[in-house]
Amino acid sequence: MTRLRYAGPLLLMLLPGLAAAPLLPTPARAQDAEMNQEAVIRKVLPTVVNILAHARPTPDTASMNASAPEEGDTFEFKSSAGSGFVVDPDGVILTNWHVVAGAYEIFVTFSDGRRVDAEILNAARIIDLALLKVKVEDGHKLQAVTWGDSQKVQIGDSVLAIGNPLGIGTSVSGGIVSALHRNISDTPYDDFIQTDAAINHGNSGGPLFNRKGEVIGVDSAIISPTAANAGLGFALPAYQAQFVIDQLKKYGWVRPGWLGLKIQDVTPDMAHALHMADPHGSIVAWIGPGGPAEAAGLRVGDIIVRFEEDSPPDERALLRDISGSPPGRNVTLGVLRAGKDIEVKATLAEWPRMKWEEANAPMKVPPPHWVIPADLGIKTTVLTDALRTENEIPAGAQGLLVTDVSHGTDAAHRGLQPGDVIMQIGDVAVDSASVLRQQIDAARSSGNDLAMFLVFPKNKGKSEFPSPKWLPLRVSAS
Amino acid sequence: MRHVRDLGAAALLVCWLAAALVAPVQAHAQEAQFNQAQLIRGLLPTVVNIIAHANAAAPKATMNAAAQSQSFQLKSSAGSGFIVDPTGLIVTNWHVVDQAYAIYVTFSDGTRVEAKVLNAARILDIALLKVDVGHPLPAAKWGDSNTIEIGDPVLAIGNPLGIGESVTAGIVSALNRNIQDTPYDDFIQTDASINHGNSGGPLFDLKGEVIGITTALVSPTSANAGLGFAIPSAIAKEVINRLQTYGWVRPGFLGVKVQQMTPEMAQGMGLTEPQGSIVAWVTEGGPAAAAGLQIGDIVARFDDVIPTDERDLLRMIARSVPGRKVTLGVLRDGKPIDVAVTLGEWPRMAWEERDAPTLVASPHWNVPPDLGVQLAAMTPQLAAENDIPSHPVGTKAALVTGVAPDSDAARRGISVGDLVLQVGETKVETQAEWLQALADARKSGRAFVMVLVLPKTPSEGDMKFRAPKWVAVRASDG
Repeated sequence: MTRLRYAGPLLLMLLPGLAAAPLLPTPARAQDAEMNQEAVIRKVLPTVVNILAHARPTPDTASMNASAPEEGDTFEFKSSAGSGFVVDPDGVILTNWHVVAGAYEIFVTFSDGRRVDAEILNAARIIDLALLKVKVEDGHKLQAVTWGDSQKVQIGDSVLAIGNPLGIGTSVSGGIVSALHRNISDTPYDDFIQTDAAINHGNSGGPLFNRKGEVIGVDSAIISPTAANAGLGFALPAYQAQFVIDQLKKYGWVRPGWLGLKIQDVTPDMAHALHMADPHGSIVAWIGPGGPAEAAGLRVGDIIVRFEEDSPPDERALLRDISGSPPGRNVTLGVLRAGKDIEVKATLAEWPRMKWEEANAPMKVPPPHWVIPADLGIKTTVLTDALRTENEIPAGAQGLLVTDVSHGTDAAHRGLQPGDVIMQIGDVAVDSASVLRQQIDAARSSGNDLAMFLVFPKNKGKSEFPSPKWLPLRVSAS
Repeated sequence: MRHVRDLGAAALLVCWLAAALVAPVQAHAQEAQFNQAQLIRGLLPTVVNIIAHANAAAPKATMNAAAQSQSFQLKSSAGSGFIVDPTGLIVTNWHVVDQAYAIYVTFSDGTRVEAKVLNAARILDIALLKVDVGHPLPAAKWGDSNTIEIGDPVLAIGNPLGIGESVTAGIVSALNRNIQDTPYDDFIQTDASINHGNSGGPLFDLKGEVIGITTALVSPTSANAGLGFAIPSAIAKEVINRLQTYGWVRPGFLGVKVQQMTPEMAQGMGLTEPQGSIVAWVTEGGPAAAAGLQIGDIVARFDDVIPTDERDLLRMIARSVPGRKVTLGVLRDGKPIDVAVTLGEWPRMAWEERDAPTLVASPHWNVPPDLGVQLAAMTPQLAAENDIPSHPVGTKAALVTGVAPDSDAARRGISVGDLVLQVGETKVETQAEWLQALADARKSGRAFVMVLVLPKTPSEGDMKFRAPKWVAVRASDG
C-alpha cells in the first residue's frame, strides 16, 4: 500500500521527461486519450446486450397479492427491461436475477440489433445474479467480455457503465468510482462499487467497465430519493460475479462454505454495553444445532474478530470470508469471549444444499396459458359512411370498424381498441366479418401463432398525420 | 463524420505502436488515472461523516428551559464536514447540526468520536465543530475560490443520503449564484452529484484544495438533478478566521437596507439603465445616517469597486473591518455624488440573536427499571399461540407482552410477540429474572445493556428464518 503510494509520484515525475517531448507532443496525447475512450467503447459494445423479460408476478409478490391471477384466468404480465453481458462465447450471458425473476419468456438483443430467445441457465438469487443461455449458430462465437480485477479498483478511477436505462436502448455513461465495499443492505454479502456514472432502472445486469474496457462490476442497484438516478449507482464487484460463475460451472450451484451461525455487526452502543474500547468484529447471535460452529465450541455472545489472517471489518466481510471458502477447509477464528482474546478452530462445511436451493436456485415459471377465442375477442361492423364521419376516419381507410375487444385478450393487450379499423390481414383486404374470420382461421391452420393485422388506429384528432400500422396478433396458443 | 473516424483509428494505431516500443502512452493513461485515485486517497482522511441527534420536538429558541424535557422526538440527520485544523477543528454547515444535542463525527478510517459546536455563523450556514482525539488530524488545504473558472473540474466528497463517504466528480457550472439561501449568496454551482447528506462537505479542485463548502442543491425532486451549490472558500475561510479571532463574525455595518435596482425601477425614476442598489431604509444613529445617506439614493460604487449586485454590495460592507473609511459613489436625483462614510460594527446583540449557535440541552432519558418492557413466562398455550415450539431456540425464553411506546426499547424495534432470550450472558425466562438481570447490568455502571431477542418478524436478509439478534438498549439515563 505504502509502496504504491510512493510509486505514484515517481512515475509522474519520470514519464513526461522520458517519452513525451520528442515523439508525441502533449496536445496529441490529450486527444489520444479521448480517442482511446471511443475505441474502448466501440470494442466492448458487442459484448453488452439488452434484455426484455416477460414475467408473471413472482411467487413472492403473488403471495402478498390476494387477487393474483389464477392459472387459465385472464393473464396479467409485466415486461421489464434490463441489461446483460456475454461471459462465454458459446452463448452464456450474465445479468441480475431481478431482471429475469418470474420471467416465462426472455429476449436478448445484441448491439447489432439481432434479437434471440434466452433461457435461464442457473442463478444465485441471494446475490442477485443469473446466467442466461442463448443459442449460437454452429461455428459462430459471441464476443465475450474480459474481466478486470475488482480488488485493484480505486476510488477516483474512471468507469463506464453500459446498459439499457429505462429501456431506451444501449447507452454509455461515464463517471468515477465514488466508494468501495459499500453496504446497501441488498445482499448478505454486500461489497458494492459505488459510482456517479448515470445508472437508471434498466441498467441492471449491465457491465461497469474500467478505462481499459475490462469488466469490474455488474450494475445492480441505485439509491435515490426518487426513481431516477441521483448519482449513486452500485455495481456488484467482478470478483463476486466470477466466483459465482465458476462455482455454478463447477458444481451446478454456488456451494458456499458454511459455519452454521448467525452474526451481527458490533454497533457503538453494543461496544458500550460490552465495555469494548471501539466497536469491531461480529457478535454471534445464534448457533445452528449440529453445525460446524457448534462442533467448534463457538458460543452465543462470542465476538469474531479474525478469520485466519483476515480481520473482517464487519459482518458482511466475515460472511464473505466464510461463504467464499471451500467446504472442508480448516480455519482459525480469533474470538473475543468475556473480554479475552482466544482462538477457535473450525472446519467449514458446505451450505445445506436443500436450504440454499430453496432460497437461491432459479425458479421455473410456466408460460401463461393463453386463452385465444376463435374470433380473437374482436367484434366488428361494416364501415358505413355515417360511422366514417362519426369516427373521423379518412376516405383512404377501408375495412371493418372494431366495436368491441374482449378484456384480457391478446388483442386488447396489444392495444387493439374499439374505433380502430382493420384494413388487412397479411395481404388480404378485409371488408366483411366473414373475410376476417376466414383469414384468422387460415392463419391458424397455416401453423402460425401470430398473424399480421393492418390497422388504422382510432384517431379522433390525436395525430396530425393519421396512418395505418401493422399489428401482430396471437391467433393460437403456442 | 466518416473521415474523422478513420483519422481517429489511424492515430490510435500510431499510439499503440509507440506503446509497444517504449510504452509511454500506456503508462501515461495509467498515470492519469493514478493521479486522480492518488489525489483522492490523500483527501479522504480530511473529510468526515457527521451524525447529529436532534430533538425535533424541542422549542426552536433557547428561551423556554421548562419546555425542554416535556416532549421528545429523536431526529437523526446525516451530514458531512472537513478538518481545517490538526487540533480537531471541523467545518460543516450550520443546518447539519442545528438543534443537535449530540453530534458524532466519523473519520474515513471508521473511528467515531463525539463533537461539540464551538461556534457558528447561522446566517451564513457555517458551523465550527471541535473534537478531541489526542493526536493531530489531517487538515484539508484551503484553495482560492477567487481564481476558479466555469468549466474547472471539481470533486465533491461527502456522505450522500447517509450511505457513507463518497466521491463524485463534475465541473464548475456557474459562479456567484444567488439561490436565496443567505443574504450574501455567492455560490459556486457544480454538476458533480450532490445529495442530502453532502451538506458541509468540501468541494475540491484538482489540486486537492478546498474551494467551497457543499451546502445546497436545487432540484424538482429531493434527488440530485445536477445542480449543486457550494459556499466559496474565500467567504468560508474569512468567516472561520473571524469566528476564531473575535468569537463572532463581527461584520462591517453601514445601517441601510438596500434593494437591487430593476428595469422597472429605473424606468420609474427616469434612468436609462438599472444600475446599483437603491436605499430603502436608513437606520437611525447608524454610519449611513451620520454620513447623510438618504432613502432613494442609489449606491453604485464602493470605493473603486462597482458591486455586481445588491448581494455583492452587502458582502463588501460585511467583509470590511469596522472603522474602515470608504467612499460610496451615489446617484442622488440623477446626479452622481461621493459620500464618505466610516463603517461601524454590527450591533453585536442584534447579530448574535440571529447568528450565534443555539444551545440545545440533551433530552432527559426516561428509563424505567424494566426498560418499559413487560415479559411473561412461557406457557404451552402462549408458545402455541406464538408459533414458538417450531423454533429450536424458542423453549427457554420470555415472551414480550408489552412495550412502552416512547421507550428506548421500542425505538430500537423490540415489540410485542418478540422473545427475550438473554441479558448479556444471563438467560431470562420470567419478569423477575429480567428485572434482576437488568439491575445487575446497571450495577456495572454501563449506560447500555445487551439483550438477545428472537424477533416476531424475521429481519430482511435472514431468508425468512427467524434468527435471534442482539439489541443494545439504554439502561440508565447516564
